[in-house]
Amino acid sequence: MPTTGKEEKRLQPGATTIGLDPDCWVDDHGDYLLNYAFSRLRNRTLAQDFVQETLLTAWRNQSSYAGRAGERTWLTGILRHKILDHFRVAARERSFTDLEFFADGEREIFSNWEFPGHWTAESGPKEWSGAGSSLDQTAFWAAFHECSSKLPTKVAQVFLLREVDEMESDKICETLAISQSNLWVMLHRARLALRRCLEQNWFCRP
Amino acid sequence: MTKRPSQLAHLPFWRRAWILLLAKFTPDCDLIVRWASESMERRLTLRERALMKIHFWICSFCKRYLAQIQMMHHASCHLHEHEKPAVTLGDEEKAKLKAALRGETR
Repeated sequence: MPTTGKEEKRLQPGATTIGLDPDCWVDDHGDYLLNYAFSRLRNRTLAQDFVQETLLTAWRNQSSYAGRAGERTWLTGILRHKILDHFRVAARERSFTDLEFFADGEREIFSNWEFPGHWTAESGPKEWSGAGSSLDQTAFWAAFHECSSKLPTKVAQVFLLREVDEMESDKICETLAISQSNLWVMLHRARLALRRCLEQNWFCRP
Repeated sequence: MTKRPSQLAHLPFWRRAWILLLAKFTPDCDLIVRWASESMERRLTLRERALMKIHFWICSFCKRYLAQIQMMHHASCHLHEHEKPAVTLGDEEKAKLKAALRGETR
């Protein structure tokens, strides 16, 4: 049992309790965990099952909670492992087919009439004014969420694992049973699509 | 049908020749942006890095693209701090979760 709860609370914004209290877990971290699971699984019922599983596992293994990390970080870690296990099993059951995503979009972007394979005047990246200050604005993050939620489920999984969870490429390939070149193509197209969406809906919105 | 004027027509002759020459020796933009994305996944080879740099001399779009995806990359790790809850647990669902946990703690 952690004895440094007060100190943890100061260090970790997610940490809220001194002892381990499962009722407080639901109130304090339930929504956070549900959103974490939902953004990756895109299925509310499944996400809720994962939250329940996570809390039960956490309770059964409370002795493993060393109090080093905040409670939320600890619970998120358990949830993340459960989701990765789920991806692993799912990858064995079905093939990863979102490689076709944005293939046409990519062709269209580089369809310069005079120099094929190059940007067109319309598709070329525009100057992003105030890119730095955007990060402090709630509306920018709403646009970012909106754009990333438009990615197909599997591409979004890959993108979130790589960019948000900062997982190593090798580990993602192993978890999702995809080749490295497939991963790179998916990330590349996700970035192309996301960049364009952000430009249209935030940086250069009419 | 009238012929469209070249996109480089407004540039002086030497500038035009310079761009066409370098464009001939560096890959097309579609490959350069792929490398730009892969530069975040692996270390590019010396050749790839050199060609990308040279391509940037004549293509501000690709140069801007790399800067923008790098900015997105840095922004992405903060995505969760700015999460606006899209889904929330209802009171009934919370009660159910607590009951499940209490069953376990008894």
